[in-house]
Amino acid sequence: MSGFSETTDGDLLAMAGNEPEAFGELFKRHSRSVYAFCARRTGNLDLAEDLTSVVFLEAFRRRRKLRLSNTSALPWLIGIANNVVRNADRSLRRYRSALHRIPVPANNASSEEDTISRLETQEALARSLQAISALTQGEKEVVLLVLWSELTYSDAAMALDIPVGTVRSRLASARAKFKRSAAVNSTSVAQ
Amino acid sequence: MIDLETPPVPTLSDFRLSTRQEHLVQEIAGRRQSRRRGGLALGGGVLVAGAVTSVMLVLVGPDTANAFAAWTPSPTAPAPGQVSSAEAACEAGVTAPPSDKTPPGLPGGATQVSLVDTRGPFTLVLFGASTSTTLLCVSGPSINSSAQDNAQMREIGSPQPALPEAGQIAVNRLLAESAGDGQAYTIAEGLIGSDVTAATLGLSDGSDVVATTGNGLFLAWWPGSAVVTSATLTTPTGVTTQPISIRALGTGGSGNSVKRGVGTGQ
Repeated sequence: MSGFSETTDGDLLAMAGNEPEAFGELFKRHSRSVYAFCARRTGNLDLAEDLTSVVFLEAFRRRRKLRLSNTSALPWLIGIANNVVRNADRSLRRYRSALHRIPVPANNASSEEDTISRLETQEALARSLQAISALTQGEKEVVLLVLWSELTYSDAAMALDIPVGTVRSRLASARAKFKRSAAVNSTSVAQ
Repeated sequence: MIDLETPPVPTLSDFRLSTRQEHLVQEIAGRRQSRRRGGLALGGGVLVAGAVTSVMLVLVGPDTANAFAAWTPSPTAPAPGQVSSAEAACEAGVTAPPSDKTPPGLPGGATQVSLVDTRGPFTLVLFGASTSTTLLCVSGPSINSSAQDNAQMREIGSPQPALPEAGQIAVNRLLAESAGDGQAYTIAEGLIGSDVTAATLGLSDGSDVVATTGNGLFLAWWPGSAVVTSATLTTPTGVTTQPISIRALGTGGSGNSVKRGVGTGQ
């Protein structure tokens, strides 16, 4: 795979039809970011792993519709991930047989410490999701992309296929709701 | 709701990432293979159409709008007499070589046929692959500007390199040619490992060409100037895709033949 280390994301996608290993390199570059996005969006680390595979299978299917932001395919992949997670049940059903072919890692056994750590992370992720549950779907997506996944406004706009101005206004709206909520909470605590 | 923070997500381990990566590559390769099987089924239909088209091309002659309209991306079964006439045309070309196209001193008519590739009405013959004088001859309608001379012979002769390992391919030569009407075509020739039963070449323009294989050799050609970027090889143990790098692009050869360089499997 190291033969592709100098190849741009766009070229990797162009080559993927003939050279599956090129798409493997794209996975290597961006799967961790996609996985983190899926984990934050679902609050479930195991599910996020499967969804990451689905995102890349779906990306391969749609590779001819690629739109690149700068030279990175990540915003495009996150956009696909956003849709995949939004329709997780349908996405998982679609690629069910492919997911069944994923070999179970030989060293899959986790230590008790790892298991506890994963559960704590999932609880923390669930609290984060609960915290933004009062936001609209559009506001949640912008928070996930810009604040939690650290995409730029323009990359988030590309991922969501909306204008940059809409990203800004949704984020401002989300922040305003948070401020109001924090004020209410502090008042409650004071009383 | 007090802040917009989120906890860090534990990083996917290298092992889990590489397992998923490997799976993804296999899934994609499997889909390509499925599509190819569909494409080969289509090839049978093209064969029938090719026979009809070849008659039209011969009648129309070298001024036809697309000299390679009857070309097929997969080899086709030769029509009765197609290979023997092609060999005869090639041998005749060797016996009386056009002075500007064929180097002198070829062993006229004595070279043994090593492999024959037929695609519709076109026949590509490789002579003397295991000898120091290797010849390639392509024949078919509109290959040359003269209707009486529908064959092009090239000497590509240098000793063959060592055989590739099992499951591997070595592209010895890519030859950039042009037909009588100026349309470009490219010939690939080389060796395959002893266990390789089929080879499909991936080209730089995104298309695939199924090669003819036999006697540890492969042959293929296609209209245009695309180069080989990969080869998908079938062996008894499965299907693998091997990247091909074309190390150098030179100009040389004879007549309107240009040796594009020697490609090797990685």
